[in-house]
Amino acid sequence: MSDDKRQNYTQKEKEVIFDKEFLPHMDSMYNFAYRLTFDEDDAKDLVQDTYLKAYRFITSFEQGTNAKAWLFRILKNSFINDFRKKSKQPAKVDYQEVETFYNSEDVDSAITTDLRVDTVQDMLGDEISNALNSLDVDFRTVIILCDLEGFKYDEMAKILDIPIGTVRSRLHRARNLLKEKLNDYAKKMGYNK
Amino acid sequence: MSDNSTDSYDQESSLNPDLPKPNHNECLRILHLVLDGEANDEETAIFKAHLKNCMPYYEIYSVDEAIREMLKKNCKNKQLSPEIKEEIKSRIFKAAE
Repeated sequence: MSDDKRQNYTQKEKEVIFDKEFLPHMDSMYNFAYRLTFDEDDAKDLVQDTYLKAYRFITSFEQGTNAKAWLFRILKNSFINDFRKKSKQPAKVDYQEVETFYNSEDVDSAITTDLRVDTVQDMLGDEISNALNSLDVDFRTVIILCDLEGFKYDEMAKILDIPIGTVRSRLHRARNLLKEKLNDYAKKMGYNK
Repeated sequence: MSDNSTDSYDQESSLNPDLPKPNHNECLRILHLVLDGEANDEETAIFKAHLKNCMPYYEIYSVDEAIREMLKKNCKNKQLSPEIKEEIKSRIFKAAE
């Protein structure tokens, strides 16, 4: 990701970069967009908008650098600046609570869950998906980036424009919240026996 | 699992004074680094040593891994058709002309 070093690409080179470096990530981008918007048409629009911007600013992209992270960053910004504003969805996360969580004594609360491996494996896809979808968008996002897309902490920090320490604390909190949701499902469905 | 689920290791170490006093908070901090492939060699070694003697941490680690596998299996399934991808691509190239 490079904002200050502009590249000089010919039209042909631009098209090659687009095909070889950007297009292979379109399904991941669409999945991310869908998990943010919960609507297939909105997700498609968000992906299209992201690729339009990526192509328009392709001279800011340095070949050989992390195209996927660059694209995810554009999509995340488009979601916040355009989509979320349009749908007037306020950010619901209490950041103070998030950022102080990691250093609090509550950090040990991860071990209080009754969840077991076989309980998790017995769950239906819908239950897992609903639990993820029910998280506030900022918590949902870190789980998608880390657990679904396999981004490293430093890549996530760049995509989200936050320090690595915040990535870690937010991820930790998101995982605990997800476990709580799954634990609630398990209790409701009588999985925990 | 109770709040004091890591006591098993404490009890073991109190019976055997040669065992180092476990640092559960440190282990919990490292747990996610190991899970995410972000731990360095020293942190991985600390975690593995702790895990061997601490069943609750083994369970937390295994549950976290199982959740991740289930997420990958069930929440990474949205795909665009080749036609839509082509449509997006041609729209972008046309807009750039």
